[in-house]
Amino acid sequence: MLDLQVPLLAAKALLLLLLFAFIYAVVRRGIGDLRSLPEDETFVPGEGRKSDVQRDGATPYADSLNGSSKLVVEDSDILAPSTPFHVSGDTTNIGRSSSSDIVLKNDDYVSGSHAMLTRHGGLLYVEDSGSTNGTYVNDRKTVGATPLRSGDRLRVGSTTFRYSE
Amino acid sequence: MTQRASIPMALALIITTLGFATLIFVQEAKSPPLIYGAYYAGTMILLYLGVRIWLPHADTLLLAIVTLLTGVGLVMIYRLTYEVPGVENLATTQAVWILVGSGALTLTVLLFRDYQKLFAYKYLLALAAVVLVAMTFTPLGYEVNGARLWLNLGPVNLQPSEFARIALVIFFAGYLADTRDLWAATSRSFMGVQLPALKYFGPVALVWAASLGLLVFEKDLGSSLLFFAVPLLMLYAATGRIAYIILGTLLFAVGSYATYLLFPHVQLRVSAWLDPWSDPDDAGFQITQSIFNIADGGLTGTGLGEGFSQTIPEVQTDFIFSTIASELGLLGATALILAFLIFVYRGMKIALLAEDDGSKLLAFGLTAMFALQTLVIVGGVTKAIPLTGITLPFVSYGGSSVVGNFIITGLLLVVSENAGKQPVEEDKEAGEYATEKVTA
Repeated sequence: MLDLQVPLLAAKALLLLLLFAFIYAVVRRGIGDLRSLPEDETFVPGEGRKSDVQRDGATPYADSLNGSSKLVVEDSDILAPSTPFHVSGDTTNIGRSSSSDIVLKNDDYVSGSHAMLTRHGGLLYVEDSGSTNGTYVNDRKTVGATPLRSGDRLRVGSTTFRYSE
Repeated sequence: MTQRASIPMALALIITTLGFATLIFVQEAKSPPLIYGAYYAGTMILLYLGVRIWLPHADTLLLAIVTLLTGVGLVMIYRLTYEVPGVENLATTQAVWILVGSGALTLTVLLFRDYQKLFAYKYLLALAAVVLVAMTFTPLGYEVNGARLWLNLGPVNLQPSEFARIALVIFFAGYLADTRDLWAATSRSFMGVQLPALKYFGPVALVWAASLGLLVFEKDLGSSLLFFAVPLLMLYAATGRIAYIILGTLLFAVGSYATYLLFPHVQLRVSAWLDPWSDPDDAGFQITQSIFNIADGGLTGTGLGEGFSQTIPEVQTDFIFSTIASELGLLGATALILAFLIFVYRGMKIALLAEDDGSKLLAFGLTAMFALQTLVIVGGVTKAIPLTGITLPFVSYGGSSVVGNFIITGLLLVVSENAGKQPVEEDKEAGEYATEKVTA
């Protein structure tokens, strides 16, 4: 009986060891990508949308500001600083694809269709269009539609814009 | 998204081999026909290589985890049945089911590589799901242990709910992706919950109620729970409204209480959960034996073949986790649960990286179902929640369950393939660099 215990014990230990070796190998490959997430990302489900709906009806003012709003490049790997983009019309698309209204060509961190600006009741909202690396307003990742105020910084990929009304 | 998983694959197969070797050489079990072992290892390796070639951007880590789970399952099923008269061939049958499942996965990958077209048939799929479940009420269906959830189709017996749930997740994913905005923004409200117009709410409620009602009358509690919770979670994922979760929890409380009052078998399950010791030889037998066995395992387990978990009725299906906890101990059981956790993590990751709403919801729904199923059965056998008969994905013995889960894995693989190759198609000149940061 005793000589049977030793191989059993060895097999048991080896099996457990291998199981955890498997877990280690899988975790190393599987969740290494967690490290690349931005540190301050806080996701509150529904928060963005809720404020969107509330503000929507409540602020029907200042349509007159429409024409003068613009995004000015502050810092970018691909565009010259101070390049202005005038935001007119109801929706403006930002992305890498050439069909976008604001084209950020050759920026690898920008998705084909990255973000969308929409005007609702006098306010300009930015909403991420399901991009890979996210859209940031004042260095906070946007969730849902986020209103822009004059002086806000909008970052898409390597490009930071300053918004002015 | 691309994940190479050759080392985990090899480790998973070594673990399976070691398990069988322990049983054969140390416990002097009769060796199963070795050809089945070769079939199993060959199938999994071919599957892995095939997916690497056909779907170069897919998340093959899922396959490594599937290999580990099915392998551990095979070892445990063999250990529990090799000397039991009447069921001694269960492990080889399971190996055949894994073969069939791999075939189903391959077909899924080949036929639905462009899985978006599945969404075009969403109403048909919903109908098929309801019809599949309803078929158990026809003469083709039959009862096992008081629950009428089996279909006898000539040579094979199958559990239609295992397939119906996949069809339902596809339906909900397709439908919610189409009508998502209408769910999120709406003016009507009921008890502080904003409700969408009946036109949009109707189909979801109808399919949900039909499938759920049928399952409840089938007395399939475990599947009812999944069919109830997964659409709700998908609705929450689609809209981001916590109100749906609150409403769902209320509905669940009311529904549970109603089923408790209506069905004696539910009362039995609840009383066996609350106090199994009042009737340890009958109603509480399964659960008390399960707890004894888990406790017997201790930290490192009794060693393969040394435990006594054969005493638990239905041990090779619903209670296989008790055997694992008993013979591999807390450490082995933890490793297994971690493997499940990583599967779920990868599934959620696929959902996050997928480009469009339909794919996101599909990956999320399938993953949520997988996670919930594991939670319900592991919680059940450890007496954390009332026991509902349901299989531990990939590990438990059961043909329909294994094949169904392989199909789920196949769908997750095609979604991950699509998510992984998106940046290359989007912009050809910059695409090869775009995968550098966080792969789109």
